[in-house]
Amino acid sequence: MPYPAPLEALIEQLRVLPGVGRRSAQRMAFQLLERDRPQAQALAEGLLNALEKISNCEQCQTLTEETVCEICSDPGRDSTALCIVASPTDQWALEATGTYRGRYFVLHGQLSPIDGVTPEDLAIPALVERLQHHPVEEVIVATNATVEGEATAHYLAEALRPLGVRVTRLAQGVPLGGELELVDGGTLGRAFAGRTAL
Amino acid sequence: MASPWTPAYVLHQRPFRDQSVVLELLTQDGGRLGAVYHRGRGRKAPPLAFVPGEWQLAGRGDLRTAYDFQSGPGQPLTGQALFAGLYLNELLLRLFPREAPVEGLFEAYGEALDALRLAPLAEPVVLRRFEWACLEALGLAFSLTEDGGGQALRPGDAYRFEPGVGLLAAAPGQGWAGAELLALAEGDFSTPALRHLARALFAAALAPALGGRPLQGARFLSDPDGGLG
Ligand SMILES: [Zn+2]
Repeated sequence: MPYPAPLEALIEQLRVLPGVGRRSAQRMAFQLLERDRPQAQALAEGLLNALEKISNCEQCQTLTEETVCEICSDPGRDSTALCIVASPTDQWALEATGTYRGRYFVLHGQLSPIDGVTPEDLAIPALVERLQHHPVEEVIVATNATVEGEATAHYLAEALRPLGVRVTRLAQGVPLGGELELVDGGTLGRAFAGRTAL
Repeated sequence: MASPWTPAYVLHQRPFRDQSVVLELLTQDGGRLGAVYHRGRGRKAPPLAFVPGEWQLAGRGDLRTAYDFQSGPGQPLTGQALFAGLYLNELLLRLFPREAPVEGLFEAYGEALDALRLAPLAEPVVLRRFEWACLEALGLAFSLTEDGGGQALRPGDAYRFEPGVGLLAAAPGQGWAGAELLALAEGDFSTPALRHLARALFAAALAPALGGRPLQGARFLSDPDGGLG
């Protein structure tokens, strides 16, 4: 007997979540509909609310409730340094170290020719244009210590070379294969202090 | 459960479920294999691409389970050489299916990586040599000293490439010079013209196997015209 169509649709929709296969999606759907209907209502409202209110910051592309995020609009932040990260979670991991007082730019991914992820997908042309109009003294590339992170860093260094800006990379302390959000704060802080020129 | 250590390179990895990755491996004896590696708490990150390693693999079929590995000597590629390496990986992923052992490919790949590390400026030559190794592995290699009819190439004549046949006489004013093809047969990549010829010729020979889709990584090579883009 097939599931009723709305239930089947919900199961399929839950599968878009990272790490959720068909069986987990079924368990979640039954949990929500059978045992926890008020929570299901709250989840649906929370999702709609976040969708409506959260968008990308006009300047740095991070997730924000405003047109321009808190960090970009904070006059106390150092506007001569720009830190490039792959994702908002990486940005938050770096913020949590309390080491860095400059601004950010979020790529929402990393360069991967094999997966078809191009510089255009990562808004790198827009980043270059932004730096042409609003120059900074240092661009700190804080992509992951993975093949894709390294490829992104190298591509950025080449793309920014004509601008004459100092480009550095977080390297020391982040283990090879390491993803920033999984690295502890102390290590990340030291990685910031020990960044090297690209 | 003791199983032999399988020498392999990681060609690509992508996240799978919450804490796992799917690895595309190039093994010494088994060709390309897919394997799931679980990255729970305290488990080490799998080695980066381009670093030789040895793996303990379990299971059969399309997706094995990788439950342990040791990294071998060798540094990951960096800078421009990294993009050349990614081009090699994309070629392997596009040209060779999983579970189809290919003789000599593992060694040719390792040599190409060593060459990229030692002499990054030789990138175009390294890529052409590897493309030729792929053609040989696919059974698509052809003679560079004889035409498709078995006649020795003449230095003064011009030739074109025909898939499945090899080199054939070209119409007047077209094609590649026999003298240059014969130089290429000797492994001579010393002039820009020879490197250009090799790129165009190998691109034509690999095109059927690539199904007409260009390689995404070609635009990132040091010579953007240096790949099958
Ligand atoms: Zn912002």
